[in-house]
Amino acid sequence: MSHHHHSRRDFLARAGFGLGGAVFGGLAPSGALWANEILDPIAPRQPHHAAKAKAIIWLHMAGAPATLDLFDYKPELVRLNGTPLPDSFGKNLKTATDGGVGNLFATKREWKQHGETGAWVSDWLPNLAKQADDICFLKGCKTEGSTHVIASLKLHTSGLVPGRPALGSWIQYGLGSANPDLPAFVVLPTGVGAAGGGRGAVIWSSGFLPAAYQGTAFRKGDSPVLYLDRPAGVSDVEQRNTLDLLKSLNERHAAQYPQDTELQARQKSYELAYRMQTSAPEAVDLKKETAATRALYGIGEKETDEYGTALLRARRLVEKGVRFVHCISGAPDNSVDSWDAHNGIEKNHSVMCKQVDKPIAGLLADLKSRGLLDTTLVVWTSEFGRTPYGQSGDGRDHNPWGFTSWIAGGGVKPGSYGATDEIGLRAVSGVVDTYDLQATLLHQMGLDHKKLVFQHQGRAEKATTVFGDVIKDILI
Amino acid sequence: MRKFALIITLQLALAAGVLAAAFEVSDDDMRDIEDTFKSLDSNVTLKDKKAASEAQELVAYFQKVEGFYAQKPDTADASGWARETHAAAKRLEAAVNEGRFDAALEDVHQIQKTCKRCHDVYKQK
Repeated sequence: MSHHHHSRRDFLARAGFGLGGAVFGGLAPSGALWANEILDPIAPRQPHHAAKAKAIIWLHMAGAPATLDLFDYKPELVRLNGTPLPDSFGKNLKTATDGGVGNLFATKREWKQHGETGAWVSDWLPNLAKQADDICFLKGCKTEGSTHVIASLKLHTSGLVPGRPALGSWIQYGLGSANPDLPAFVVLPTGVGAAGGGRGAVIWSSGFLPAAYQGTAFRKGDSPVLYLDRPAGVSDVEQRNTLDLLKSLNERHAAQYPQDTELQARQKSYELAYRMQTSAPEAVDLKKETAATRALYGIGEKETDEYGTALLRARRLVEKGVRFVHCISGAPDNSVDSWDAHNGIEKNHSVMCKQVDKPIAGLLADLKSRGLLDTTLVVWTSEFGRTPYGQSGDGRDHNPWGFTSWIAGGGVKPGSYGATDEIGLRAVSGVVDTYDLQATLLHQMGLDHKKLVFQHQGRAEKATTVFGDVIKDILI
Repeated sequence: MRKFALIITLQLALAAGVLAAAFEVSDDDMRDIEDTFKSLDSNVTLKDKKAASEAQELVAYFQKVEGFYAQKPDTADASGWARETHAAAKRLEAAVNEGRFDAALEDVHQIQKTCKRCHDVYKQK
């Protein structure tokens, strides 16, 4: 491997053959790239195997909803309401969270089974319940760490500390872009407050992958990327000439630092930004949608307008070839603090569910009617769930041991997989760790999590670290 | 002479017993072996023979872990996982030494599974 010996001449020779050639020239025995190899981040690349899905819409419920009140109906918890947590359920429970362990706290929701699959969905999500037959509920999810930051990092990057790439970055690294005029990994934050960012840009970071693979956060409104528009008074020709000059100067500078991926990313981003001046506003221009479609997502209604707008944008982006859209549900206003209902869960989840229920149901219906659901994985998940025991009298604490996530579309079988125990505290069957979720999504995108490797500081790094199993039982 | 030999033997046996009893599954050791395991995963992926010494280290460590849990009451599950991990580590070591890296990677995967199962119950978080 000659990665330590790139000369300027070598670099220029490689550049002369095109960046894509450099990719193949730089392959390590494993098929991995060294961190300092030159890589065109938007060049399409072959998957490891035939893909079932082309894109992922990742619905991140930042703050952690109580899936016990949404999807995981537990009559035994209702029966034991108000009693201390039985020792049999708490055995070997190592993590003590901030709030301690209160008495068991039954759901106040009304429950029904829906569709042919008979999925339990509470009355907090009446619209989503109508789409139950398209959803695969993963009821035995678990993770590590009961703090938002750590668990969010693990959910998105498979690491417990910052510095690893997000799943969207790995997918772009593995597959390149399907549309050179848009970023392959787009982030759509919604809401207010810290949780509106879903715990910050670190969860859509490219980590040790080249910087060009990081998620691009789109703003609300008609101009999705700050300062993307051509300044007033500058013609297209003037701008093109300026960019050409800049490119030429940057290439001369970059030749001295062939291992500087930040510099390469910046060069690429200038060109991408130029193309995005047209493509990005068009991609998020919802005026091109019919009134019926906008209504389907709840656009125009106070509670659902912002989140619905984000999800309709997500559909449009996926249609245009964006591979990974990360939508983050933050609190719609200051009346609640994201999904993080340590107290007042009735009020909190009423607001949060109202915000997401109609838009998510609309997204699934819309994708299906356009034939896009077959090739789009819609993933609903969070950093963890919430406990069956109460906190502060009317809230629930963090629960990393057992909760529900779900996947729809993209070659995943609708139904229910896995379970928590009788009170919903711990995953007991069909256990799905975040590593397994990521491995499965990569698999559906045509990537083998054991072969998707990037060499960083002498080590072969993988998207799911050393862990992760594809959940074969849920695949069509 | 026979008496001397007996004393030496007894002393050695006692020392071995003390050593065996002294082994504890500690957080520090686990962190070290986790580092080794991550490096091993990388080296197996890269088909690098450096994996051989790391596999050997893994075998030696899980032999001790297996012994530790075998003597500990009420840890049948951990004992089973340690036994499985030890066996997988031995298979892995053989595969690496024979240059069968694809097979070794499967054993790496098997080991991470048993590690995780055990950590879910026994790792202090």
